[in-house]
Amino acid sequence: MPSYVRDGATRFSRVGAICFALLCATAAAATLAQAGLNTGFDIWDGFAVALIALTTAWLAWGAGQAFLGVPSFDPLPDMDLSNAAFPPTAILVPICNENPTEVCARITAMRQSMQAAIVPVDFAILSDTFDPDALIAERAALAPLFADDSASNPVFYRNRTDRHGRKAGNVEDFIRKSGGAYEYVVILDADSLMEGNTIRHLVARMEADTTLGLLQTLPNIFGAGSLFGRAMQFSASFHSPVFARGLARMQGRAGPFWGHNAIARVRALSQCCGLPELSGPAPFGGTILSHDYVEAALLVRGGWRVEMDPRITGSFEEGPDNLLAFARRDRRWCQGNLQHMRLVGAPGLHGWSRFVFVQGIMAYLVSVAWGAFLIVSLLAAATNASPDYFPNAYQLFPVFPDDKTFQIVALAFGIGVLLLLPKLAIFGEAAATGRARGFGGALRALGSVLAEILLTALIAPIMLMYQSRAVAEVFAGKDGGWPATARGEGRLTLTESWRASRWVSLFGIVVTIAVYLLVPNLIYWLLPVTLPMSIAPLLIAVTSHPSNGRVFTTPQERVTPAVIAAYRENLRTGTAQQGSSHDPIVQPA
Amino acid sequence: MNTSVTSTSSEPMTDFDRYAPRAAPLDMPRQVLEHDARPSLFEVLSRIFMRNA
Repeated sequence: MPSYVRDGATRFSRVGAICFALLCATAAAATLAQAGLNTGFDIWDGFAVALIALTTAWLAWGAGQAFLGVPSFDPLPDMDLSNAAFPPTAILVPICNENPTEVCARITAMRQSMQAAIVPVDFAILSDTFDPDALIAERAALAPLFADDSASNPVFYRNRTDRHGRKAGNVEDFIRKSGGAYEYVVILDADSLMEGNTIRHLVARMEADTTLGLLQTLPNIFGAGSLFGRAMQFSASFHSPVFARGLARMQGRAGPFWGHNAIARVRALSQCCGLPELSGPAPFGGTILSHDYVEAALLVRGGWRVEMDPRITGSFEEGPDNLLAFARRDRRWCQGNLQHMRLVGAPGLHGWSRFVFVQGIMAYLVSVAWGAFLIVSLLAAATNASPDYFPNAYQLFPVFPDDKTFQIVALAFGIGVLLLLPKLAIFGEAAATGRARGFGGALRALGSVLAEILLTALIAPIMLMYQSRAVAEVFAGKDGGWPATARGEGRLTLTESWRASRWVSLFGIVVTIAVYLLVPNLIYWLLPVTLPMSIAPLLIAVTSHPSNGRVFTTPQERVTPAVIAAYRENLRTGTAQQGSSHDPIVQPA
Repeated sequence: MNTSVTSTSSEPMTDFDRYAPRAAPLDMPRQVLEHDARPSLFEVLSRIFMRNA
C-alpha cells in the first residue's frame, strides 16, 4: 500500500485542508462584515457575508488540495508480473455513436502496444450505438479488428439494443454476462489510450493487494489543437498531477473513480456496483448519470479500497476542443453531481464518500453563489443611503463615514492570492524538481502558466453563466440527457458562437449598463466579469481556432508517446481507410 | 442483442454473434441506495392504535 493512503496521513491531510478552508472563509467573512459595519450593516450585507464565506471556503479548499500535492510521492514501485501468472483481464471500450474509424485506430494502437509489451489481455468493444447508419459504419470500420484470428489479444464486440443504464449499464451488462471469465477489467472511454506496460503495472498492483477494488490512473490529455484545447491540455499536464497528489492524499483508501482509465476487480464490481434506478423522474431520479462517484462509494461501502495513483504514466484521453463542447459536457456532469443530493444519505456509506458527494454538488452550486454574491453586492451598493455628515441635531463638525476601501481591497487581494498562489506554487514545484523541462523549460512553462491564468480568467465568467444556467435547468426539472461527446468538434465560426452564447453576451451588456447607471463607481470593479461576458461569442470563437505556438507546450507534444504515435499512424494509413467515417451525433449546447 | 450488419437493402452482411464476448455469467445484485419511504404520522398512529382493533 502506498504511504500516502495510510490512515494517519489521510486524516492529517483532511483535517489540514478543512481547517485551511474554514480559516480563509472566516477571514473573508469577517473582512466583508467589517466593511459592512463601517457603512451600516443591512440585509444585503448579511447575504454578501454568507456568500463570500461559502465561495472563499470553496476556493481555499481547492488551494489546500494544491498545496497538499506539492510534496512529491515516493517513486512508483517497479512491479513485474510474468505472463504465466497473468490473470484473465479484459480492456472494456464502451462506445455510443462514436467515430468508428478513430475507435478502430485507437484499439489497433493499444493492441500493438499490448503485443509489444507481451501483455495477454482481451479487448471488448461494448457498443450502445443506436443510430442505424452509425451502426453499419461502426461494424464496417471495426471489421478489420476481428479478421486477425491469430492475434494474441482477441477483440470481442457486441451491440446492445436495450441501452438500459447508459455507460454504467453497458459495463454492467458485460459483467453480468461475461464477468465470470475475467479477474480484472480495465475500463476505458471511447477516446482513451493506454500503454501495454501501464496495463501490466495495473494488473500487478491489483495482484499484490487483494483488498484493492479499483485503481484509478490520472489520464493525460492529448491531441488538442485549438487554443482552448491546448490550454486545457497544458493545465491537465502541468497542474493536474499536483492537484491529483493532493486529492490522493486526502481521499486515501476512499479514492475517486472517474469512469475510465482505471482497473477494477471484477468480483468487487459484481458484488458492489449493480446500480439501481433512482425513484422518480429525471433529472433527480432515473438512471444515475455520474455513476463513477457512486461506484467508488459503493466499493468503499463494500469493504474494498479505491485508490488513485497519479504516478502511473501511459494513460491518455482526449478533451473538448472548444468552450461550447466543454460546457456541454459540464451540463451533463452538473446534472449528475446534483443528482447526488439524493445519495448523500444513502445507507451505509462512509462519511468521506458522503463528503465527496457534497463536494461534487458544491462544485456547481458555488457558481450560483458567485453570481448571487455579485448581484447582492450590487444591490448593497445601490441601496446604500447617502452619507449623513450631521447625524446629531446640534453638531458643529461633520462626521465623515468610515471608508471601506481598505477591507474591500484586502478581500480582493486575498481572493486573488487564493486563485493564483496554488498555480504559482505548482510552477515552483515544477521548476525545482525539473518537471518544467518537459514543458520547454522553466521560462516557457512560466509563460504558459501566466497565459493559462489569463485565459482562465477570461472564460471563468462565461463558464459561471453556463454553470448557473445548468443548475437552474436541473432544479427546474429539465433533463439534459446524455449527448454524445463531440470529439474533435474543433473550430467554431463567430455565427456558431453567437448562436450558442448570445444570451451570455446580452446579460453582460445589460449588467454593464445597469451598473453604469446605478452604481457607476463600481463599473471598473465589475469589468473583469462583465467584459468577458459581453464579448463571449468572440472569445469562444477565437479560442476554438488552431494554435501551435510555443505557449502551452506539453511533454506529450515534445515527445509523442508510442501509443499515441501508433494511433495517429493508424488513422493516417491502414485502419482509417478500411472503415468509413461517421461523425458523432451531437446536440447543441 | 443486435448482432448483424445490414446493408441499405436490409440484407445481412456479417453475423456479429461470433464476436460477442464469451458467456460467463456473474451475479450482480442491485445495490440499495435509498432508504424506504418514511411512514406518515397517520400511518404510524394507525399501526399503533389499529393493531389490536
